[in-house]
Amino acid sequence: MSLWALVRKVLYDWRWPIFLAALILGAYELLWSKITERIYRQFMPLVNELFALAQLTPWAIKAFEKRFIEGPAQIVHALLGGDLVNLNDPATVLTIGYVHPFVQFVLCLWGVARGAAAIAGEIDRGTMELLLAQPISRRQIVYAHLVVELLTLPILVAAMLGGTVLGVWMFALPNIVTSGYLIAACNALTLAWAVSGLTLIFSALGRSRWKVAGGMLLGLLVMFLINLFGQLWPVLEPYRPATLFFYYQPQLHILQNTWWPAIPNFSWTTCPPLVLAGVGLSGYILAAEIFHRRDIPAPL
Amino acid sequence: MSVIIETKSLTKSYGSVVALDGLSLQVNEGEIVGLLGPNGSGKTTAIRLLLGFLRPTSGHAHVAGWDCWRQSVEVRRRVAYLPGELRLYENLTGRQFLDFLAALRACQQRHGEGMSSSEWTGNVEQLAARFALDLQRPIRTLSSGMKHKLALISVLTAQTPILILDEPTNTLDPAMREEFLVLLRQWRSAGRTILFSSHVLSEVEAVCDRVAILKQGRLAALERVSALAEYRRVRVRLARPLTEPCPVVSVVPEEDGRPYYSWRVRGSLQPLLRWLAELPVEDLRLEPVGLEQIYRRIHGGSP
Repeated sequence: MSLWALVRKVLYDWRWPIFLAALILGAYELLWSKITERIYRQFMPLVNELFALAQLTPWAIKAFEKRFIEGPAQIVHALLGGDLVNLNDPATVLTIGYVHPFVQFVLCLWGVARGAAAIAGEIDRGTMELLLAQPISRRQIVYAHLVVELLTLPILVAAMLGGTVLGVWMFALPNIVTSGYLIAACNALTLAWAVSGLTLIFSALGRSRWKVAGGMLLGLLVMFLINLFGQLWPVLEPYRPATLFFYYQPQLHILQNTWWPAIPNFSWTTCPPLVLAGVGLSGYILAAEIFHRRDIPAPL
Repeated sequence: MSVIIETKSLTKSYGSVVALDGLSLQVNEGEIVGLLGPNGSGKTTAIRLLLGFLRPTSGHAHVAGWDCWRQSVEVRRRVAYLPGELRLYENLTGRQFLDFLAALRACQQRHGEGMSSSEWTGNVEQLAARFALDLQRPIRTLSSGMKHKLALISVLTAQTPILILDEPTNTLDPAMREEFLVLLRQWRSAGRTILFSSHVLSEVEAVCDRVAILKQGRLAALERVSALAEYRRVRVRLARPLTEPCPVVSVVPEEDGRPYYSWRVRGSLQPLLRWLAELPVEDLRLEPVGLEQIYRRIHGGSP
């Protein structure tokens, strides 16, 4: 009973951020569908026409692409999905909408904000004392936030999926297999979940939401960069599986239409959503135990 | 009367800093006990240990037989707490805030410990009218005094046998303070146990059955307030220095340089007066020993 009262209260507190985040993600996927349409129907025909006018052979075009990708565009190329993307194929271009850094940033920001506010935020604003003066256990507080995540994250990824489906229908994009997007959406959900779980561990240890959020965002940036540059520099590649972003593979899920995609340059396969779900759940359990044992500092 | 709150050698340290040092205190059922002491004397630490916010470094605390750290949920089921540093949910209205706290305590109603929903609503409305508080206003628009009243209503409607109040009259105006003291007496009459910390000696003296004075984390005095009236201070100025052995408690220098001798006496004054009758007494004064004087003796200043 107490747990549900707290869940209702947290949902009430977060109703506008949920709406805003869902709106942003949904609108972004719709926008990306429009960008895909422009690339497919306007930009690429123009480029192909220019290549034809220049009488370039397919071999010369490939060589040009290779020089371009290995040169000035190598970081952007890695960021947006590497060799998986073929600009002539709208099915592959549309997948960029799920792996784009902006989407990853919004998902991570959601996880960090939720995790940091759950414990450190309550201590920070002095309301944890009021909450813990009621007959509710500290573990219940953590589990209430876990329930809220399980209720709100599907809303966010449903908005992403909704944006994509609406975009494919509005702009009549061909060759789109939507079943893979459901797995990609689960992958997006588990990324936010894992970030939220990890943040909650630090939140359970801290007393300032901004310090927790700042530290966690810095940690995520480092992980993001390791995963990105690990695709470009072999020396960093072995460290990629130690980052959360290695397990965010929506493009592979969409294009291979499987939960267990083959990850380029890695001989082993894994189920990325399962790994991220495990990380998130471990984070919540660990945070509950840390919070259960710690002293609650007086409000500053 | 049975003991409902008990601490034994309760200690809380932060590294080398000892915030509470071996507090042993018993509060009986239906009693009002005041915790007195300046800032940093350990009052709030003691309260936070009782509520299970802090893990004791050593010693233990029990409320209604439940261990305050290991079984803190059971403790808080029986305790309503008003924090000294009041922070409420600013985005809620007063009504939403009270509904939320009531929902968190809803399990008590299921166990038949609390009041029914309609009784609870009636009680809330009655208290809001008594405190002249508009429950429809968002909390962020309330003044600090109004917020304090709202928190008081939440404590009053919790229907717990024990109330722990940390400086409850801090931001109340004089009229509301009086009203609050009347309520405290009503709660005691209803059999509720109250532990409260305060800086205002007069209100502690007015409503408390006993008072615990803390100094640097230690219990410096534990007095029954009714017993304070039995103490009197006898101050005497003599024509010559006192040479005979006598139970002198303290010597207070007089303005003209000659000393006053003073004694703190409980019960009959006759033995002392009989002894004084044989001395060259120039002046004799009799004063009641109030809480303030005991407090000053311990802390050497105002609270």
